[in-house]
Amino acid sequence: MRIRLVLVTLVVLGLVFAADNAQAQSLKKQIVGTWSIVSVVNDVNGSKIDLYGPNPQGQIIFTRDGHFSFSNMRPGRTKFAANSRTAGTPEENKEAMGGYLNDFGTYGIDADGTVTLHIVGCSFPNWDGTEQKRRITVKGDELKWENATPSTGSGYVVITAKHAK
Amino acid sequence: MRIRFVIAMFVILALVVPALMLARDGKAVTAKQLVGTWKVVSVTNERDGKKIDGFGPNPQGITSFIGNGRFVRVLTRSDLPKFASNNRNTGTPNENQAVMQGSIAYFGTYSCTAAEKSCTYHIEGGTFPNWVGADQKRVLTLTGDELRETNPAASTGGNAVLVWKRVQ
Repeated sequence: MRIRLVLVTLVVLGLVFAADNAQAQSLKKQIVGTWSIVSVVNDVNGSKIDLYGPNPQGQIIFTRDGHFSFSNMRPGRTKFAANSRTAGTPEENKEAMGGYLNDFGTYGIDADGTVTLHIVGCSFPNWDGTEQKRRITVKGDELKWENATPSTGSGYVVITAKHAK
Repeated sequence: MRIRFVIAMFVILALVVPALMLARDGKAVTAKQLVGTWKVVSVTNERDGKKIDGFGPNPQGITSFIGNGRFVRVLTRSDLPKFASNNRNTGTPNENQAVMQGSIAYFGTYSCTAAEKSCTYHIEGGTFPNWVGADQKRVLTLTGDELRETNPAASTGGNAVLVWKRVQ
């Protein structure tokens, strides 16, 4: 009798684990590919701003072998007068830095559908070697990326992206 | 008889030596061979006859070439200071300068021309505003797992030689 109970419990646990794993696998299947960024909205206490201007230019890549990269830019930043990356003025450096973010590393999907980014390197040094959570959902051709810990310090960021052909 | 032997040796050497040199120098890559992720090994910047490590002695970074023709590259020094404010928009002038001078990242599409033995990056976005929207030509050669890239017009002036290893 007791053995039967143990067996049933094991089977049920196995099924729950398999279902969780299937959910993670299915999200992975949905996000693998290249995505073009459409909007990046930072919500700080209800006031919403386009963090990279009205037409951000960026891409998100998730590869099947578990790597990711995120690149995004505010178009129209001032070009450096000196035409050398190492000779920017304080204003040029600040605008270039604030209007661009690029990170890369590996990713994993938790059973609850949360994506964990293991960031290896980033244009923002504070993110090097950090682990960060994102809620990512895909509906049709659109990917929604939610970030509760943005690199601009406050609020909540929602990114929408379209599948790149 | 001896003359014929000497001529034969010359012919063999004439064929074999350039082939060996070509193999040692690496072959120009095709777009298909680039597909995958590459980890940086070294970046050497040569300007006014002087050679320096473009991103310090221990550069960090990757380039990913995707099969659909898109790519992304991030290169940084390994000793960049973290921002005290922990906010990307409120770096001090010194923090912003350190990051701008010690890193570069960009993305876009790429294409290779076998006839010119080069590939072109069509840069859509990047940390260095002057490169955004530019087409940049690079000479890329592959030897086994090692990719060697020459950039005749580095973002710091001069030229740059970048060496990459394929990530398994």
